[in-house]
Amino acid sequence: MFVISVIAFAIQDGLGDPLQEMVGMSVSQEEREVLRDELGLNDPVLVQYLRFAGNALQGDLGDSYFYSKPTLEVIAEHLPATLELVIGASLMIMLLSVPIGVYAAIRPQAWLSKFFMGVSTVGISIPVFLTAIVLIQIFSIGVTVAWFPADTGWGQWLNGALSTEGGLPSYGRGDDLTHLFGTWYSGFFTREGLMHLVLPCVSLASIMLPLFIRLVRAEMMEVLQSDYIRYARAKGLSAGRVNFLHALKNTMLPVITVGGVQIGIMVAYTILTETVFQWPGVGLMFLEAITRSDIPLIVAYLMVVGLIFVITNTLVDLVYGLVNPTVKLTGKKA
Amino acid sequence: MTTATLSRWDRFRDSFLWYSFKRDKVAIVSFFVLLLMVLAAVFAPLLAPTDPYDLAMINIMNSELPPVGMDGADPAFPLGTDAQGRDMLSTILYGTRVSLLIGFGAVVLQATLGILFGLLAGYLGGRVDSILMRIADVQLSFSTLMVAIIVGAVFKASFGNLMFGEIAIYMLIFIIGVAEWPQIARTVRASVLAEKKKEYVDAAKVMGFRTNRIMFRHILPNTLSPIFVIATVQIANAIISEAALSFLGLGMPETQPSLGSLIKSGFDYIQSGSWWITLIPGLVLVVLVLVINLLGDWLRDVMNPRLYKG
Amino acid sequence: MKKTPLLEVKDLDVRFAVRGGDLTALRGISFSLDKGERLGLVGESGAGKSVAAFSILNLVARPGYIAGGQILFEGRDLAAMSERELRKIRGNRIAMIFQDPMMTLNPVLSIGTQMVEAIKAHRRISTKAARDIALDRLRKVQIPSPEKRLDQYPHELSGGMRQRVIIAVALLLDPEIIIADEPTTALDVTIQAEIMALLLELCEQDNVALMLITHDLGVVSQVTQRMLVMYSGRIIEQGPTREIINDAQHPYTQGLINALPQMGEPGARLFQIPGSMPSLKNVPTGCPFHPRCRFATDQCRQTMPEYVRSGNVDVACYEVSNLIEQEKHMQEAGS
Repeated sequence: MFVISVIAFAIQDGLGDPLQEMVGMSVSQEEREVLRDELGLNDPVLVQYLRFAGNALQGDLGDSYFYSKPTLEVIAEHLPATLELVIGASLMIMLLSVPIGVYAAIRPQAWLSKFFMGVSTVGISIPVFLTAIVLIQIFSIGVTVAWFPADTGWGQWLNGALSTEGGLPSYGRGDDLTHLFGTWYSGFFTREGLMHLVLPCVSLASIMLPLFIRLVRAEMMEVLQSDYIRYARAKGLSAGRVNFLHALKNTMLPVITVGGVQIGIMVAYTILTETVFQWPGVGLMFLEAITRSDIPLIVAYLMVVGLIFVITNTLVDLVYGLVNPTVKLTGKKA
Repeated sequence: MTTATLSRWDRFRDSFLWYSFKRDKVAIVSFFVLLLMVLAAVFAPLLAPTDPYDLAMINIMNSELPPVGMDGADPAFPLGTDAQGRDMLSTILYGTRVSLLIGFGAVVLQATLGILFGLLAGYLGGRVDSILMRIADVQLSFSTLMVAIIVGAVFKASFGNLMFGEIAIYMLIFIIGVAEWPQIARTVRASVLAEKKKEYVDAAKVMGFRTNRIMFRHILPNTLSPIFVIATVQIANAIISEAALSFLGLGMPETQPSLGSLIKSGFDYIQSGSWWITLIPGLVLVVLVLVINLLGDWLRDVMNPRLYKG
Repeated sequence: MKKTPLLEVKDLDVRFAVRGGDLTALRGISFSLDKGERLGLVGESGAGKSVAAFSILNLVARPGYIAGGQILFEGRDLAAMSERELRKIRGNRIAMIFQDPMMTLNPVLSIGTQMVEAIKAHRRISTKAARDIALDRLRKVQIPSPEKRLDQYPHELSGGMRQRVIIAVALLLDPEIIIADEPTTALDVTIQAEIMALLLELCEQDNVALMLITHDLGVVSQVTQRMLVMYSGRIIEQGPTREIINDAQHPYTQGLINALPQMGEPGARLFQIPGSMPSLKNVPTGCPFHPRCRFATDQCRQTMPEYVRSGNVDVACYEVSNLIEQEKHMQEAGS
């Protein structure tokens, strides 16, 4: 609990800074008159900040210039789209990175492990927007290959096999969304919604997946070297029990901690992913707010992102406590 | 002078670094690819068939020509042309130059900041340490890309598009350098903490050297190898960050494109089938980042296997 | 005819596959262990004691592997056995006690889980019955409030208690052999004697054979009946413990014994064997001890001596074999 409060405090600290910076810099803009009125810039910085913080605590982060309605309302409209994107990508990462990482750790010499590690090294070097573009080219626009002579059977076959039809949507979330509650319209329950989710989720997952595979593998390999694993084997336990109970449970502890931090980083990448796919989430909204100089909306976005960090950090600590018996959840940390 | 360099060269040839380099095919290939790209970028003005900055040489009639080997290609433009009729080969050469320049520049800046703050935090400890590391933690939990996007957005908003375009290179170096310093600062701090416990530091203290001298002359040299490894990987990161910022429209303007802004400008035309405008610079970017990362991996293995343990 | 021993190791070679060729960790190790016998394995750290212990159950950590020789347990070769068959022996017929109790128990699983899983890996019984066995063994090792311990996690127990738990785990399935790898080294000095006494008592009670790996000659002389002295991956001397302690033949063993504090005069400087044991990377030719041996001859530098018998002790040393030869000559001359 103490740790969480420190993190929360730190993030609030961090949020204060860009806000003040932004407000301070904007004075030199041509919008200065508008801004002065809107934000009361004639007051000392500290007063502004206190007023801002006071309003924020009451859930009031000002009105967006562009949408002319409360910024939190604007964010609430866009947030579900981003959350679904993040959830989809996280699921993909979890379902793929753990089995691959574990496999690569247990059989480091296997051909398949080397292949996965090679792919993940290359994967780290590919920026997310480029992955997205390639995916769009292949699966949405489609590729027609005509490298092989079409007058022979095998040439035709190869051309056909290498060509893709495309057709997966690469733009927006589709129209067929299910209304869950409030502003949450979900794409998880309809075919069209899911189809729209595929490419953005794969793109977003692709940036973190290599990292997680490497992390799981490195941690698992270290755990496999430990005395208690050798001891478990000396007790005559089956390889399955040793690997998947004794080793995996210890592997997951650091993976959970690092994973929590990575979710924060993923938020930054949603901005890129959403831009490529014109995904109507908060990332795209943020970028549009920047081009429109919609300062209240920018600030509100940063506040919400900060809040999301605090929440995920809390969740991560909770999950960590559940898995790790050495951490007591009664408030004192071992 | 010659003898000195010669013996240094000999010593290098005897070193473990050179030995393991010779044995590692991936490292050799990566090194030569990188060397080739750096040379091509440095000599871009000599190599490029046209000058993409020179508006007079651009003919809009030549726009969106495909690369050689496809229908409708013009042999004058081996990699095709972009939407404005610029020769892709030339823009890519110049773009690589811009990307590399920003990558190196940003790393020099963040290394300076990181080493300075890391040394201070690690050596002085106490309040200086906790304040600096607090800032670093907050920045890292926000992710460096996020910080870069925010700072970039603020700068762009306050300078305006035109002016931002003119000083974009320096801005990007500054933004990425500032956004990523915590990585290096943490590494430096960790090695300083480890070095501080060793006896030679006590010895230096007993001999009455000043703090500055101990920090820079005694501790710093011993923390260089992890810094070197991190810095290599950070160049790759900086290039990717730059590309991401440019892709979001917060980086290099199209008149003075980096690889990232080339990809962005091409992305607008991908639906019309002109994939080469975006994918060829994309491929160059990936190869550039990949070889740097591979070299970084190799360096890490050779120089400091326990780097991740901090 | 001599009855076959419970465990017989014949000419065991263990190597580590590292970049640039193999390193030999154990060379030509041969010894045997009878039912209920207590055998000590002594030597400096790095002599290969632990490797020898782990290789019996084929648990040498990668990149180590058994390169040759046999490990016969009740006539069956463990070195040639499949992983599946080995598993039936590990923990069941041959149990191990590791050096550091802090690192041996899995931190994220409760004591009960770790005990029950060991039983259920070998016996088809209910969890309830397995817990009862676990409880019984915890009582046997005299752990206070054993019921509570089953639901506790390792970090909630002290080092001494954890080692008791590990001994309890070793006893779970009434094994024939317990291999204890420096079971008290990581513990407080005050607890060491307690744990050692407990282990000895339990082994005597159930007539379990004990293979005790240690560098503590004092413990070996109190606990074991026979002992092996290892140096640089070889056994250089083996025989009845009392005979070796009282009259060590090999210069290295002599050095070890002379280095014990109680052997010297009070206030006198402790004896040291000059130099240190060679690393696996550059084992000297001939007898590996020759660079530190005051009797070393050219013969020692070139070839490894064969074992010779002196009393009931087998020694690999040219100095000893030469002495025996001389005695023989004197006797022949005298008769």
